[in-house]
Amino acid sequence: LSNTSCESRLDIPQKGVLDYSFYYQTDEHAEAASNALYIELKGTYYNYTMLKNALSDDVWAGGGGRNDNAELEGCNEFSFGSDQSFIRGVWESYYSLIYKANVILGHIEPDTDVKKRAHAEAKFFRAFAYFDLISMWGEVPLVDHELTPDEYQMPKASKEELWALVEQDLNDAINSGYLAEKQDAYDNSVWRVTKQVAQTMLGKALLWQNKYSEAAKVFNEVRNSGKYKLYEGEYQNILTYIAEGNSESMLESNRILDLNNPMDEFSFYEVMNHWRMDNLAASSAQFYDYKETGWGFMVPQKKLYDAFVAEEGVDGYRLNHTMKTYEQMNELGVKLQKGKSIINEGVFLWKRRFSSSEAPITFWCSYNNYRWMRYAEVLLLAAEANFMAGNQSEADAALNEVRSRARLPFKPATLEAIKLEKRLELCSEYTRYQDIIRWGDAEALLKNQGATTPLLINKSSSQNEPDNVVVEYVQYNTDPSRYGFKPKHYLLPIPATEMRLNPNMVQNEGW
Amino acid sequence: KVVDIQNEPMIGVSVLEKGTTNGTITDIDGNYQISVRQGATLVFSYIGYITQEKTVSANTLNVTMDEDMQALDEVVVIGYGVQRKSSLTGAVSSVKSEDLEARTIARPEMALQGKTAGVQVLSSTARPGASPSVRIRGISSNGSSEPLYVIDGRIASDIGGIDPNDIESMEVLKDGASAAIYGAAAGNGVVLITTKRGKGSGKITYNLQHTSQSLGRIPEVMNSQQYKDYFIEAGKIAEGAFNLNWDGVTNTDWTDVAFENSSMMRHNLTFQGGNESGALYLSLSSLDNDGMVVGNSDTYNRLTGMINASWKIKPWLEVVTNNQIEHYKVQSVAEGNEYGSLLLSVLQLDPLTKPLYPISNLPQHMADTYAQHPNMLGDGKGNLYGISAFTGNAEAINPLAMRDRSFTKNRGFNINGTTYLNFNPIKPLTITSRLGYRLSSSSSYGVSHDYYYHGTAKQDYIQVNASDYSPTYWQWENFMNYDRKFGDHNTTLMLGTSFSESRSFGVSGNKRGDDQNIGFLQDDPLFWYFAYATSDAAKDISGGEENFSRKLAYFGRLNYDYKNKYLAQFSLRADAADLSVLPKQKRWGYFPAASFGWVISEEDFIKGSNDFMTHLKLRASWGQNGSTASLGGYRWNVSVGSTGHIAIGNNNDFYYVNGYAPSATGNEQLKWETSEQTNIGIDARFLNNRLSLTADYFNKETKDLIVSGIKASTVVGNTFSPVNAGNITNKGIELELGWQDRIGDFSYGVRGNISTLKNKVTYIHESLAAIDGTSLVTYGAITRFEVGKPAWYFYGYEFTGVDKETGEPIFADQDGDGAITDNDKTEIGKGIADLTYGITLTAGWKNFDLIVFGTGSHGNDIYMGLNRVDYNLNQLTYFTENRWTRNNPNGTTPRAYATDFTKFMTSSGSVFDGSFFKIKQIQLGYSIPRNLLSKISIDNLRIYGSLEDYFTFTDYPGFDPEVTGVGSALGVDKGSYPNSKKVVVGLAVTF
Repeated sequence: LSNTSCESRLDIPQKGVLDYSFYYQTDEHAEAASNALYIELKGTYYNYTMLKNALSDDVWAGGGGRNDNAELEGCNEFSFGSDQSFIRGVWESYYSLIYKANVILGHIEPDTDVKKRAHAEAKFFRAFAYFDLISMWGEVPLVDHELTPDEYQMPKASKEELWALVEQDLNDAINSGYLAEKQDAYDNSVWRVTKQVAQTMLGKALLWQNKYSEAAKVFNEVRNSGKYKLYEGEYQNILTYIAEGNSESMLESNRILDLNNPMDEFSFYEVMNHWRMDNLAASSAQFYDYKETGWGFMVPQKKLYDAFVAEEGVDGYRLNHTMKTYEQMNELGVKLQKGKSIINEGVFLWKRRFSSSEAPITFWCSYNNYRWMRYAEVLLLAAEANFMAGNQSEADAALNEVRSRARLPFKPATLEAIKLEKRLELCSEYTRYQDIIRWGDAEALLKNQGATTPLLINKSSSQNEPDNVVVEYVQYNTDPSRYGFKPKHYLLPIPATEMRLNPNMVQNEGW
Repeated sequence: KVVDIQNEPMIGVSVLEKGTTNGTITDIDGNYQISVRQGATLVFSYIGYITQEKTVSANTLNVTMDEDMQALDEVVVIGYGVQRKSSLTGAVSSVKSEDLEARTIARPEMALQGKTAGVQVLSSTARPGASPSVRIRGISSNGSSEPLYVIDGRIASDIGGIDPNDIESMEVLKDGASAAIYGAAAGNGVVLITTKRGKGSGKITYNLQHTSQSLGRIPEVMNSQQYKDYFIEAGKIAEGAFNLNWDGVTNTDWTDVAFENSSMMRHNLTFQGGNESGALYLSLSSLDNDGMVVGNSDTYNRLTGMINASWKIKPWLEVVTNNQIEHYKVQSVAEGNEYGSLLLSVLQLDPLTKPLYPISNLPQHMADTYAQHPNMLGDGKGNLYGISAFTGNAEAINPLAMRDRSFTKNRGFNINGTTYLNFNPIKPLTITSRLGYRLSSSSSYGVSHDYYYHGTAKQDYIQVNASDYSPTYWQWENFMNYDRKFGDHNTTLMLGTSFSESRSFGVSGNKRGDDQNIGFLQDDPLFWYFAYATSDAAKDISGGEENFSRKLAYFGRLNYDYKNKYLAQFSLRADAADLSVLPKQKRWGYFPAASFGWVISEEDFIKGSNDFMTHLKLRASWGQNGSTASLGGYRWNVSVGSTGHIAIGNNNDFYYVNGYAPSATGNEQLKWETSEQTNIGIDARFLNNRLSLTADYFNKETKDLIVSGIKASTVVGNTFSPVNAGNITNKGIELELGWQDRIGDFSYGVRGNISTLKNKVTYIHESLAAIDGTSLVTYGAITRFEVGKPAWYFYGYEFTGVDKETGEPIFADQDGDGAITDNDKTEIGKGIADLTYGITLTAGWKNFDLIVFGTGSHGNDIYMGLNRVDYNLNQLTYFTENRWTRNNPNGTTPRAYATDFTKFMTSSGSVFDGSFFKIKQIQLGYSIPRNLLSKISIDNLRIYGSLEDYFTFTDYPGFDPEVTGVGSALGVDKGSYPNSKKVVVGLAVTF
């Protein structure tokens, strides 16, 4: 009647995992641990870019109609609360990246080249995450090691402490000598964070603290490195799969045409940003060059188009390669179906168009690489830092490098000129929101955002009646206290979950 | 000659000379012959009849056997033993074979519905071959609330492989003390199933049943004219579009297109016989069910066999083996979700589109599409399946296209059984060594092929999926039962051990093409196999990993009674789980129980009135059980695992590198969910057993619910492992009442049961305001698990009426901030019924018999997810016929396409009273008189006709209030396959 000896048979080892207490010893372990940082980064892209774009004056939330994505509308109209899922999601992603960096720094002894590189990259990613946390939330908990359960309820750290960690981490990473570097501007084999990317992040951290001359110095080092160069191909391809890994690209998350692994490339990113295809129809066969599924979010605002026109004219090279009017779309094979409407102000983003050839298997699966940063941003950051530090000639040079690629004439650098150039060059590239917050421009630019929503409507409803496409503005929000940027929006709210759990946490003002 | 009380001869009655092994049994005419001395005593016995002893005084001894109305001393299976019903101290309900035979139910669980108090049978689908969910005394977990099934001692996760005709009895162990002998697995109650054993002198039975099935209730949707008016009024479709795309006469009823009358055929053949030393029961059943969807796309075929045998090899050794063999094939259609349920499509498609259009005469929009996409689906006879010009890229597509674009066929077999030895070394001691086993195989083969319907319902390639799984399970249990009497003190001691292991192993894969490559050598069903894929087809393979789980247990039970008057029972079980379930130091769980009974009717002061009150017993019990259903997969462990890969290189030349990181924070303190239950009950029989009553009160608290998804902090940066952080209580009263009597040739009986349930979540982890359950479209969670509320209560806005000015729905502003936001969502209903009941009437007159059986629930709600207000989909007339319009300012539902209609969808306006009463069965049978049959050597022949699930009384406007979601979607109807209404004819013949 005894089964005592059976108890040992209950010790069934777990398959497919490694023992935590014995890991992080070899170079191979260090490589795998830093790969996890890049995987985490890639996984963050969707929420990261959607949130930052939606919070800016570049775009309308868009979609097929009102409430198509209430979360994005909430961000775009500043009607969100502290329990907003994008805000919570991005916050948690940053701390997840910080955790993975802390695991490397806490468990790996940096005694070989590979392990030293893992340390340098971990410090970069920790600083990368903190840069956004500080610039969007202000004061946040400083987590520089793996937390034990008695440390979960962390208070906020001061901005000084946080910036100090960011500067320290980036300086350590840059000076370690172990970050990757490209051979030259056309070397597209480097996928790791390079020394220049880390320097750019350091420059941003300094610029955000108004340390202009220090920032200018480090940006100029990147410019003088010769490792990056503005893309020389057709500007309209700059964000598409055609121009992956181009000379201008600072950091990309790779996605691959591998039909055996389509699920790993899963992302709604391209489909979300693509035009609302089920309400569109072909005006020529060219229509079928575009992916036939698109949900039409993040559509450009007309005033962005107007700003382009004011600077470049309606035939501006960069304008025409960045966005198209409805009439131009018509010529390119796309028209709105009779009787249908979409949220759109009569302009369509062209530089993010989604081609049928880049998604061979299902409607959501593109292999276009995610773009994190391009050299044009470095130049414009450099222009600003140099200008503010009083280096007019450096500022002029940096600004006009970007302008001349856009086929625009020389213009002396002023803060206004730099702001405008950055708005046009990097529109819908998720830099705008943090800039207008930093410049203190956000309230003036965004205070009425959400008052009305533009609808592009084809009022014709029979085969005989000609198309009649107009923009109408609908007022969905009636209470002005419930939309538009308010002073409290200069900082995002600490997620409600953290507030509920952590008695040591103080909510940002006004939330 | 032996006859029964109606003077019918009785076959197979055992006749034994008392004190000897000299015996015989009666033949078909009830006659027997036996050689004995004058004055010897003969013992006449037959199951279900009172045993009689007669002294032999003449050459002929005729006996009339009396039915044993005293069902009291019926023996009840209790787990590792049996017990007389009169000495039970726990709450145990039984279903006997008569409730299982001659019904259309394909699965044994269904027999519990309406027949046992406190047991609820819930179905998320009634498609052919579907398995229902059983809830014993409510919902006791945020994870699984399924009971433990034990078949002839074998622990089973699925009991679908047994034909209900082959079951002798099902016992439901409801209270904590009864179930505690199964310890860590019994937290949700236990269902014990005993299969039939051979009886009598040799009997062959054949049952035949034919069922005709059709859709019972069809929700009413708008017709073409109503649809047109509605969408013009909504401003969604211009009148011109109707001129363009509607012929003015088409008015398609999509339920007629998608459904048909279908049939189910069953055969059951058994052979049995048995005597003192052994018994044999052999059975073979087949079931062919072609579901209601047009064509053969929803079918269930099952072949089951049962081989039960026992033999007393030595006076001290009996060997027994019980085996079930099953083979099944099943094919089904999409249902039960808001994105592409066939049941939703038939409600949502517009009636202006025809099911089929001839290719030679397509409407303009289809002709345009066909020119681009020649792979549009059709009937192969020159017609294409109609595509709506009105509903855009909606998930609701033509049900014929939905049926034909892909299929999946599943098949498999199971060999289940127990084989055991009973040793009797000395009289009071029985030692049992029992091996239980299950060998299974299941495979699936599915194809989705290239087709075009619209922008999102399309595929440019062929994909073939196939899988094969072969899990095995065995358990070995050794236990002893020891009976001992000390004067008036009776004791029974049971001690035992159990060890079990299950192994899973299987592989699955798919091959498919892409937009440029169809993926297979030919677009032809004969090539739709892996072997004929093109060399550049993409492939996925998974599985090929064997996984084990093992359990070890020790258990014991002591029963005690004094003069059958004072009863007590104590039990304890210790269970150990393997590492995949719990960390080593938390592996052991201990589950104690105690119960007491007082048989008042045995007391001297009451014994005189036994004619009125035959039996009266008070019972009380307390016990603890566990549940590990939410565990497994090493969820407690912190380990370093892969976080995925990234590709290095470009599209033409790349390789992958993998990332590794700690998987979770870990929780070495994780332990079982524990349920603790107190039960107080009473059993009584009155008026010579004609009236019986059982009543129970229970209070069950499940503690340490395993809660995942907690966030103890948002800055930790890793996933939190599950913690024990939740409590839930279930309380209720159960009542079972029975009456049976006979007036001359007319016998009748009434059995009813009713049970109440109050379910409440009493605690969850501080970090969670609530656990979100199922969601509806993109409107967020509509059910929640939250402190102070019933499990998975309905969450949404409280709809208070329609604004007379605007036609917009008005909602209660719960937080009083002047606006309707997410914060105004509140409790608007619950899927758990307050009251469930069942009633069975039986009557017999001469050769006729009648059964009427009904069941119902009261106080539960249904969250209706059948309506969609996007893509111009058709709607239930419930929502449109009395809508607000300029001319109808007092309308009770919002105006067409009100701005806040999406809020209305997740408000109390979409929640309905789900109470129903259903007459599950009205069966009339006729047994051909025996004197006619005996000439053709037939012992018994009964023919019957039956209406099943035919009459439903409910206010719910959907398909079937009985079939909605289960689990976290309890009571949420997203287009589930309803129970069909059935017309049944059958015959049962015994040789």
